[in-house]
Amino acid sequence: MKISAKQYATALFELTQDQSEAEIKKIIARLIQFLSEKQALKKLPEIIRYFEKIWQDNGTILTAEITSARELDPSILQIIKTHLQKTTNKKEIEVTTQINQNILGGVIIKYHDKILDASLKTNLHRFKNKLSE
Amino acid sequence: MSNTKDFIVEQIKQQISDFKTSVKEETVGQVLQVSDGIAIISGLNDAMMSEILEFQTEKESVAGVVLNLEDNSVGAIILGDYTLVKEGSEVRCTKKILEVPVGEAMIGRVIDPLGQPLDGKGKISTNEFNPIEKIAPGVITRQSVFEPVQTGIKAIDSMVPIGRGQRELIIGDRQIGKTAIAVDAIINQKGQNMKCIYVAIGQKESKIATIVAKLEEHGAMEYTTIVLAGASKPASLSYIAPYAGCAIAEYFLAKGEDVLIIYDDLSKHANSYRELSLLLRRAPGREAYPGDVFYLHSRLLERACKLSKEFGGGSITALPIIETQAGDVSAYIPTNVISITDGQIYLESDMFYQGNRPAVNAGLSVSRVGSAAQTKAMKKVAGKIRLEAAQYRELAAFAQFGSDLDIETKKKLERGKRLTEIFKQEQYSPLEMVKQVLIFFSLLNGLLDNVPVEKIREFEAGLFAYTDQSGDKIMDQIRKSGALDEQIEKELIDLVNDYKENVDYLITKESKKEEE
Repeated sequence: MKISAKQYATALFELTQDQSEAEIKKIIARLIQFLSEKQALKKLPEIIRYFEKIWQDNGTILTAEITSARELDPSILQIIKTHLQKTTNKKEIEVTTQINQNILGGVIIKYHDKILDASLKTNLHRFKNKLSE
Repeated sequence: MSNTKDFIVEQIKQQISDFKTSVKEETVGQVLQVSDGIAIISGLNDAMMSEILEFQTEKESVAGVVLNLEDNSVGAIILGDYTLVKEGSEVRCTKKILEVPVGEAMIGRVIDPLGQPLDGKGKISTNEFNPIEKIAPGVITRQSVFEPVQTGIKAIDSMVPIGRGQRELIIGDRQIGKTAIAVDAIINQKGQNMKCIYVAIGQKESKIATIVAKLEEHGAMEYTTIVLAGASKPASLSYIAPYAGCAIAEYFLAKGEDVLIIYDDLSKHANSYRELSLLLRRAPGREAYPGDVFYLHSRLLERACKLSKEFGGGSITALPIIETQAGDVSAYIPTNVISITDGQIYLESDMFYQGNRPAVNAGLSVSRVGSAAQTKAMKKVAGKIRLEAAQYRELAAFAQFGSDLDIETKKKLERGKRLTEIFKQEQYSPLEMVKQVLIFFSLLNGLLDNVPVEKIREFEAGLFAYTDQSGDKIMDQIRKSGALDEQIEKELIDLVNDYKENVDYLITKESKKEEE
């Protein structure tokens, strides 16, 4: 049976969970050997790509992108972080911030393929639609 | 006066204070690839099958529908201007399955498959929606067909009768009057307690404009909705058009009303589905159609039904149209649709060019369930008419070879000729059932045998005019009872004979001798 890059990546992820560094080195060496036996070394870049994705989905770190109209107060940032921790069950939240004055006020939070749009612009837009109904 | 002004201001204030901002988590994806109305999207992990997507573009947001759910991507068709969608465009899920607005406000309108008006008569105000895809009613809810749909076309109502809830295919080459039959059928539904929906798939907009004008002229737009996916619109709209039409029909069905829906035509529908499937890289099969092209039509036509009384008693009668290439009914799509429907009206180009219009081929046209729905009076004459037509066809082919025919055969041939004349009917002039019965009855009782063949149509028109004047009572009797008893038959014969006194072109014994 042919093993797909995704399956390799999943296996690698499961094996390396909660292992020491030395152990991980061994596992990787064995994986490379296995791949060469199976003549599947050319799949390596694809495996790495999938692995990164699986790491993101299942790992403990969440990277989020926050867009705001003005520089955010650290305390507000902390509120957002705790909110994200609660909703996504991730231990750590990594945040990159962006300033975009077009959104007028509020924040837009993006992570994975989710978006939380709490910007003033969108809300004003909704308000306008509601009034014109 | 100031009172009302205050009231309005108060209302606005109320509205403003009632408005609550809400933040909803939305799923977004990115367009990986976009081509010919198809987009491949990454992300959208929780997208549903046939969910509406919103493509954010520079100008406006464009709607799309999920058609493929794959391992790492989502394939979607774009309903609208796909040139606006760019690689990397943001796509949002709406958590809504594709649906169309439905309601009474749809009647008399020309709309696109998404329910947006195309006739410039303003916004359609309705707040009910029906999903475009729906599983057809099951066995328990159904009832066999028993009420007729009067098309007003003599050849069809007599030989291939259609019942409410039936699916009758209209099949034939291009330009031989398939749409004409459908339009005549719509026109004849006036006062018959029937809503009509005409779904135009990949049709020329000029043709639709003509049809709308004709329907308006005959007052038929009062109960008709036209769903138009024009030839210039993307294939995705053509693909959903018949389902949208059916969803609108189901609104009336749920209210226990009868609906006649025409799909014009399903060959173009199959073509647009083929286009989408090939672009989505689904494997091509016979004639490059995808494997599920049968299901494409069967699930649509299965939604036509007659519901039993307990379930409202409504019905959807479907008249799908299929265009054949050079009379080839054994191509893939025609055979599929023939096998799905409860019969077909086969139009023949030879007959059409000989002037027999509508060019219904009596031999190849069948109706598998419709005869159960015919009125008694029509049933009584129609059986014999079918036989007469079949015998004439056989004899006509045979008689070409020899001139020595016995009297019996000659008689049959003469009557057959008159029958073919009767079957001829002008477009936009549907005929009510009782008049059809009258003319067929006259033929079967030999009352037309001494009317010259070339005068038959003139005679027919005259006879109807005469009945309108002096035969109203008896016609009303048939209309009410729907049956022919001996008494009525006698009166009908008298009526026709009375009229014959007034015409001067009958073949008499003397004129026959003169000819000889």
